[in-house]
Amino acid sequence: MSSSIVGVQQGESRTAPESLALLAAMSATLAACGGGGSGADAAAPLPAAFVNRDRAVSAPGLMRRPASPSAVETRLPSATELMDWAEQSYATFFPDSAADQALELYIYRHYPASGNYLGVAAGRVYVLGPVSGGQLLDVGSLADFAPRVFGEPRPVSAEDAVAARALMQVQFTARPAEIAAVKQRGFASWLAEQMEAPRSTSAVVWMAQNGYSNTSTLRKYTTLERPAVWMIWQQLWLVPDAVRARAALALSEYFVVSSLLASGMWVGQAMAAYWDLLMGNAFGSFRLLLEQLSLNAGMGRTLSILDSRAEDETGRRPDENYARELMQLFTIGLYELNIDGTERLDSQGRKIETFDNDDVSNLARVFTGYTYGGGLPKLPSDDPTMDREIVNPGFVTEPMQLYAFRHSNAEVNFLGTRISGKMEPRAKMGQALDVLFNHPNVGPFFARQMIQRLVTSNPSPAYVARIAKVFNSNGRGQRGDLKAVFSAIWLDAEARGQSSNPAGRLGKLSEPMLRIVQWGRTFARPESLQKYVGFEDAYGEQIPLRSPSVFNFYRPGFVPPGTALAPNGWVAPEFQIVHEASVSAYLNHLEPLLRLGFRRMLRHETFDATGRWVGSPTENVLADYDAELPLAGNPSALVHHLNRVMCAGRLAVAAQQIIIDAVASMPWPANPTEDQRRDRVAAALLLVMATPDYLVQT
Amino acid sequence: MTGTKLQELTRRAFLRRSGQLAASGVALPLSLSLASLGEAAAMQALDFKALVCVFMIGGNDHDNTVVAFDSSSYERYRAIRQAVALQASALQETALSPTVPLPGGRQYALNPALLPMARLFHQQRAAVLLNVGPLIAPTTRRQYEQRVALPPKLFSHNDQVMVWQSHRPEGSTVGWGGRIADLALDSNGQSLFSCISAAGTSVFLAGESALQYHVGSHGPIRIDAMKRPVYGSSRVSQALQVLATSAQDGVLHNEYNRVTTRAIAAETTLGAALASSNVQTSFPTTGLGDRMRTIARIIGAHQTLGLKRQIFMVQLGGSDLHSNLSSDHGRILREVGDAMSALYAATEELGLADKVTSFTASDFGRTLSVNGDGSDHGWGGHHFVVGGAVKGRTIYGVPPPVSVGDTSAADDQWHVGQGRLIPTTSTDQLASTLGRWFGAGESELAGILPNLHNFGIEAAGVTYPTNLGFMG
Repeated sequence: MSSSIVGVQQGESRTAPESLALLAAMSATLAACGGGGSGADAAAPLPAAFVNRDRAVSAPGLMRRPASPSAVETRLPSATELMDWAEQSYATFFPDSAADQALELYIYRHYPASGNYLGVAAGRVYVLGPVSGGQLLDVGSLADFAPRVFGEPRPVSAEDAVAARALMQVQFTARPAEIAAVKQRGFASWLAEQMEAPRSTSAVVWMAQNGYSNTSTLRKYTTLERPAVWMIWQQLWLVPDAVRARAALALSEYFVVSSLLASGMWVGQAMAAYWDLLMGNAFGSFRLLLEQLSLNAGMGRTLSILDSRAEDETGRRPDENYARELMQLFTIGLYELNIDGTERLDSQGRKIETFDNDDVSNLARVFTGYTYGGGLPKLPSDDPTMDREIVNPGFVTEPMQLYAFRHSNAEVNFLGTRISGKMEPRAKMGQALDVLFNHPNVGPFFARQMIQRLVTSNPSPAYVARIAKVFNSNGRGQRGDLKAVFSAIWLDAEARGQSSNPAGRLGKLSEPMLRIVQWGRTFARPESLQKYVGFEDAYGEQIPLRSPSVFNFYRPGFVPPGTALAPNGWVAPEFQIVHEASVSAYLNHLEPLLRLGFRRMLRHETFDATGRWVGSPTENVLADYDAELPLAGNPSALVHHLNRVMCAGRLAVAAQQIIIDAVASMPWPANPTEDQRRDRVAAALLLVMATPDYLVQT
Repeated sequence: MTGTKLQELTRRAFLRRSGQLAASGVALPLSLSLASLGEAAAMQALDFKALVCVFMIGGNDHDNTVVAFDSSSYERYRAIRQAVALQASALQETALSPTVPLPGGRQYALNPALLPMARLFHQQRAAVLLNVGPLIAPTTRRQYEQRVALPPKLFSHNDQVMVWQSHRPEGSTVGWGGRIADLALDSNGQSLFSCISAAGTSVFLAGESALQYHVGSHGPIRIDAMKRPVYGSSRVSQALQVLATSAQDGVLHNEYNRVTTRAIAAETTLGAALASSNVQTSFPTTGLGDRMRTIARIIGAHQTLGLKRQIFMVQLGGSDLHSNLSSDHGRILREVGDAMSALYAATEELGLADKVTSFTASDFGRTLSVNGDGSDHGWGGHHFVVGGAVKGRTIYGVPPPVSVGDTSAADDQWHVGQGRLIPTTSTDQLASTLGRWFGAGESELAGILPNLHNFGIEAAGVTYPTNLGFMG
């Protein structure tokens, strides 16, 4: 397909009534005539004019337009379906959602804000109010409207779209109740309240509650990596403090600890403790987080702090892994930066390196001598095949502890600071972390990457500078206040879509793991959300807290080769895991997941050659689709709903029409079965989640 | 001369040199569009060649890969490496006896896990390249300390991966594998399959024109929902195809759909070609083994696909062994050696042994000194090149002294502390040697390898030939 499905048809505004302008003019002119009062309550009585239906003036042009030829419907819409459609398609006339009322033959709704009434009686549709000049208008029959009600794309209201877009930046979902809350409270105050929400269940506690810390018959969990994966999906899907979790997940892609790299005894507990650290400090202090991470056993394994020892006469040297990445990835980066994140240049126009290998070798001395913490008694195993005690999980969940005799007493000279070798080791670490924390690079370096994770791949330098300044001081002289930093990122004009930065407006590709989290939180049955593994065996897989290296799933400076981005120098980090194999694996993963839920299965076992599922329903990760199944008979309403909650209204009209038509073509007998309903919902959702308007968050 | 004309001329020169232009003079399209995917092979594959890069992500510990083995070097190695030193007794079977002994009585043995590699070496099908790494120009320790022109961001993983592959740090968009492939696009009927990654996105395979195609470890991945009805509906399947492949206004939107579009078309074409390309050679049942087998099958299908030149990239993680070197390094090397050995056997089966050359690469070498049970980030490192066209049973390059001292002694001028080797063979020299065999000309290589002009000289007693000679 060579022409754009978006560009060609988007301008057609197929959902706008031809007579809109005329009606708007009428409405303005006639407003003085009354016909509906401001402040009228929702249960306003039906005006007398409604009674004389035989005197209604026929006005077939008011809300009608030629139906889309592809959307042929035999069923008649109910009055409710028609009025829902009218509200969404003609929000100017019928603002805000009104409740159905019944009087005599009418089912009707009253819209106090516009003063209009909309009613259905005996198969015909009536309008009364300022929009009709105070005269009862017969705008057509239900049959006239059926093709549009069932087959026509409906716009997501601008207010809903703005609220949903904001929600998807600060958390994982934009469920209807959340959209309503943001609209009602205003985004800033809603956000402030969410950021105050207390931390929900600790992941370490969850592990224990679910038996993954048992030493007995479940001793297989002691080294199994899978509980770490179950744990993080469970957290991302179910914790109520979703804004905190969203920030913590972004932090997990910056301070990378990975269950692949932290494998070993009690890896699940180690990852749970790491996640708890991120959650606990997400809206706390960067400096404290840095210190706690430096003593975290998962970090100790990932970057081999564990068992790094002092240099000795045999030529042994302290392990440099953590010292290097602490500087390169977690704090200051490789080159000196301006406050706006651009690289500083020396008088000869060259970049200025922040550290050299001597700095690394020296800093490495600070992190020598640490080993597993806990100090807790070993636990007996009641597994008869176990002939020894098992180490207590506390040894990876407690901070690492110092073995002073393994600690280097050599003087440390790094970044122009001298730290005496004789200083108490923990104080030494504190001083070293202070030096890094106070380096002017940290603000812009950290700010830019958090913006990339949460808002856009290509923030303007001015945006980075605004956030870096908040990092440097929260307005009360405190440096590294993460609550202030995240809040500033989300409330910034550039995040709120009020930027003229053209690169920033490209948005970002949504992270594959976030799509799965969004699906689970929006549709799935909470109690079924267990033991999900994710894109197992897929390519370019993205399982949270399971990056293949400390460099995360993608680098902040990744420019996809051979694309239109490259000549402009635009980065698109998430494209580092976009390729022929991964885009295919993504769709192959969604197809059974959306319809059947998840279980560890070969997908060919559950779909026959016609794509009908033949397996039994799964026990894990089932979708309820409580709000969607009732819409299965109305593709227009279903797609409108999904566009609202999944895409913040970004789905192009042409794409909506394609999805509506495809869903409308699926079987829909007079008494549709549960399977037929689910087929339709899953199809609509699969198509939405495959569409670039969904995948790219602008 | 316009750029286009120049390009055209260089392409023709490339084809002529590699014996490809044939009498036909058929003008082959340069198109990278999918239109070219389905076209029939326009030229008989008289002369097929392929390069396979095996990239060990993390920085391979070269000192325990190619081990200093003459007694004086080994003793120094053992003294420095302590607990992670390999036992001499374990190295007997993999000791290398090159056709021409190294000067100064220097000897090497391979890690015991690399027994198949040692066998290929003695069959003259493999060679060792000592101390390879990125350089701007020949560099001494003194020059390093004076901060002469050095590759950017030395010792940093992500950047050195990029520098190895593209001569530029993170953010780079074009690599030398892709640039060499650019030259060969005309000779390939289906240019999308010129550069194939069997694991991960790498800049190595990205050219100015050449794109990299990602194949799954067992072959191209089919999108089920586009091959049959979805939830019983073929309309849904069709709609999926339209939504996921149509052109988009948004830049990111469009790039995403371009990838999906390529995935669908390529799976169809490659899947069909592979259906009739089976390789009997048994491959190890490892991740790398699976991917190598897929590469071998694609090579086996080159005639069906109309391909004359291919570059493959396969990556293997886990080499960043700051700790657990003793326990984990052998496993990784075994996976590499077994897979490369199986690939060689498969190319013999296909009658293409002298048409396929594989080689190892890594972020960097590591320190010779140890931090307990591992080593830290270094610079130069030792590598392998395997294939029937390789002048094997030879150790190329200069054996570095085994020393970690920070003194003015001659032995300490080869490293920059803790035995981090200053490369004595640059990646440009390696690339130019492979590229020349592949059919690229001098001027083209000079354009692709920005620092090549700094080599081809002798400096501080070391020669830096632009043709290392291992490809004849």
